[in-house]
Amino acid sequence: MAAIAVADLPQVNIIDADQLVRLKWDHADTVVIDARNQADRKYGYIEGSIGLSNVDTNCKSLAKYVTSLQTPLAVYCNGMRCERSEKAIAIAIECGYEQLYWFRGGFEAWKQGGYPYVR
Amino acid sequence: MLMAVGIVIVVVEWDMSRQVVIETYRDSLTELLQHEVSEKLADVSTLSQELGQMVQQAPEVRQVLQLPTRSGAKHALDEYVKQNFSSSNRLQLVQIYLYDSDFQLIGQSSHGPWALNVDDVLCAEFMRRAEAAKGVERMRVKQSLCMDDGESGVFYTTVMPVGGFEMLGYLQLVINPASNLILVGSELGLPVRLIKNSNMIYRDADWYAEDNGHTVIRGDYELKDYDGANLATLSIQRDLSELNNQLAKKRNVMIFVATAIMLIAVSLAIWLLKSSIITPLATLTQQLRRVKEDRRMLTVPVEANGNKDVQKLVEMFNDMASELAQAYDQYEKVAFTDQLTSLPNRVLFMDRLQQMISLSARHGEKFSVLLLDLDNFKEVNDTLGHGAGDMLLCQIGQRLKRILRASSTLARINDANLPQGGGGVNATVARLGGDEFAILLPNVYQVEAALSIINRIKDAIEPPVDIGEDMVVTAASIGIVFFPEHAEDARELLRRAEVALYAAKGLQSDFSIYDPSLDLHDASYLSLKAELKKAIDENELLLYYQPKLDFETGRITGVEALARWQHPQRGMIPPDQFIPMSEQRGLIGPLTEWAIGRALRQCKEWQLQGVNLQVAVNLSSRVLFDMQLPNKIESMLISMQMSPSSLCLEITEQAMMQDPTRALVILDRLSKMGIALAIDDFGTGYSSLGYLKQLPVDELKIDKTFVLDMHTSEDDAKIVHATIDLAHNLGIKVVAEGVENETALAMLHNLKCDYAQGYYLSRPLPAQELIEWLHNSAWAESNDNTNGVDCGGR
Repeated sequence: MAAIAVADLPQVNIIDADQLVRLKWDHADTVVIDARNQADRKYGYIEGSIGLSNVDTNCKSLAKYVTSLQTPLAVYCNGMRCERSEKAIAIAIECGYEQLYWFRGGFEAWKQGGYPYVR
Repeated sequence: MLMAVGIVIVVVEWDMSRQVVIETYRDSLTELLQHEVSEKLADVSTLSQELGQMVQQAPEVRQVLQLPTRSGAKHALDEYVKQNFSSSNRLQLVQIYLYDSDFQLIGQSSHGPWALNVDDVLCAEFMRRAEAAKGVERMRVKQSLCMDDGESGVFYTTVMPVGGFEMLGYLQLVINPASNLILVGSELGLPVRLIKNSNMIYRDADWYAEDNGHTVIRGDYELKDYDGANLATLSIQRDLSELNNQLAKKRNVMIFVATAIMLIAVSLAIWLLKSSIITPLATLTQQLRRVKEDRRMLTVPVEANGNKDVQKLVEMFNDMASELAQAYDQYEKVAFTDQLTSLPNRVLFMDRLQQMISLSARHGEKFSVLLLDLDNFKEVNDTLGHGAGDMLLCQIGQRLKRILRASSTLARINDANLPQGGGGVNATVARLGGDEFAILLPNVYQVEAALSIINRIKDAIEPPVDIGEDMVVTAASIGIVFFPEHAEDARELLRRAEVALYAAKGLQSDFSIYDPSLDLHDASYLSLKAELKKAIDENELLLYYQPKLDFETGRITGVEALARWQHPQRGMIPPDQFIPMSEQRGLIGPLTEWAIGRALRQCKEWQLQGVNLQVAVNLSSRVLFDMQLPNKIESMLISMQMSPSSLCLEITEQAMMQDPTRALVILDRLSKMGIALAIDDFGTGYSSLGYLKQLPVDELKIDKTFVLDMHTSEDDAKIVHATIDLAHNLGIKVVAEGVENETALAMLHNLKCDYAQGYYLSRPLPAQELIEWLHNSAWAESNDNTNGVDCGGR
């Protein structure tokens, strides 16, 4: 129910890997947040993403990386079944961020798209 | 044969399926190789990407890209390779290239175990394509197999952006995938080979050089570049010897199984064949055999079993058999029927008899055969014409048929518990020829049963037969034989029936059952019969004469002529043997005529010698009804210029009583001619006094049985006395036969008997001896006595 609620909100954009690349290229200030925990990140992550587990996500921790509420904020976790990105988005909405990009496919879709990653 | 074909089929089939198995093996080998190679290439891909990640994250490499001059790239890469690569690495790194964001080469590694250190960029074409990518494509990692222009081998190259979204530059890794790919062999346990344009890149030591596709099969994998062009071929081999062994084992099992199946199939086929064709055909054959033995089986249809063809055959057989049966019926009607009486003829009768014998052989049945002939047929034929004779035969035939139909039904009812088979043959009446009928009586095998049928036959024949204008009374003589007591084959049965029939006639009995004593002569008897005609023609027959004493004159006034047969080989044959024979053979007429002629000639001779003797000749009952007889005798008398009174004809009482009316007609005629007539064997028949009175006879001859015992038996003496009185009252003279002593002669004299005849006077003598005897005898006729020449002194 929460998922539908998040996705239906106007400030939330669901994007795929290609769209994430273009978003980043078009808006270099876009902050990409990896909502997974640190253990998962050891297996690889999108270079330039910020490791912030949804558990540690709050308005304060967000504010540390995202300079304004208008700054585009993209969130991903492991993949479609991973709920961390969704939870992080929900928190970001609570905190009042206006441009939210939910990369729902996550790290799986990224690798699948043939994009490079680092460890 | 079938088995051999079966095994050949199995072997051929097996070889074909072996080919299929091998093809399948090859396909599966190829598929396996494909799968394994894909996995290996995926490994290479992953390992290359990981290597790329590590290289691009190496600080010294990042540093180079972050410097505006981009210098020190080669050094940085070499350092990295030196620190991180050894021969034990899972990837054989050939070269690392570093490009700026515009794909300008800024450095390349030159170290490492597999470094090539060529000036040209390896897989340069692939790099150009990466450079041409647009949009997000530029950020994607690109990988492909590729090759350089030289012969060094196949490469696997990976191009990836450095710095994530920032895309600081590009990293190109070139590795040699051969070592990874050939792992396929060791992992599958199969020899592996990698060739590029027929140049061997790698080949396992246990790779089979002989690759004929029979002992070894090969799976190939084409390694292709990004354009799909062939780069090299990776192959694995599989030794088929084990497979072949297994296949051979399986083939043997298959042959065994196939043989077993074939045996079962053949047995099944034979069983089917047997039930659908062979058994029905056998039934058909059996029927054919039955038909061959007994044509009546033609009407019994064969049950149509078996398959369609056989059923059709059976139907055709049945159709044909019923047609044949009809044709046979027609044919039998014509060929086996007596045209006159419509009864079966001799041929059919013999056939039925044969059938009956065959059936009896199987079922152990008994039966009898009657042979019958009419006592006065010849007379009817001669006096009333052939038309009348034919009519008589027809009527008698019908009567026989009628009573036998009833009798056989009766017999079958009485013998209902008899085994079946004989019952299938009906009583058959057949006309064998002339007035001879034969009757086959199935199930009648006892004298009583036969006699009861004979009584019916007699009863049936007895009533007068209407032959148009006249009514004819006839009687039959019957000979009986029983199967198998009397004979076991048809011909002999019939012959013995004939013997019995003649015996019946000879005994003047209605019937006679065959007895071997009747047939003592058997073969010789038959030959004798055949010779009889010749004997008559060639004068082998003789007449003996027995003198007759006239008590009144004390002289010999007449003789009785008795026939003898002087057979050239067998000597003298007595009349009681050849007279019945002559009757059987229809020779009694000629014999009688011969005897009368001979006697008259002798009489004439004696007359010329001055001896006047009346000659008496016996007439058989058979000739008694020959209406031509008086005429024949008359012409003989005339031709020899003889007085009719020189001749006396003796007829037995029994012969006369057979048909008294007819006898009367002919005797009247003879008497009127002036011929003396005598009744022979008087006292043995049952002639009525009234009848005797009507007969134009001159003499009675008292049967010798009475005379022989006269002096001992008072009854006989009384009979003789009464007979003499009776005869004298009727004006008839009496002759006593069988006078064998003086006492008898004296007694007869006292009783006023007219003549005496017997051994006391003389036995029958040849003509010449008789004359000699007369000369020496007290009773010799005086030469001048001319009145004593006729019977009874007339």
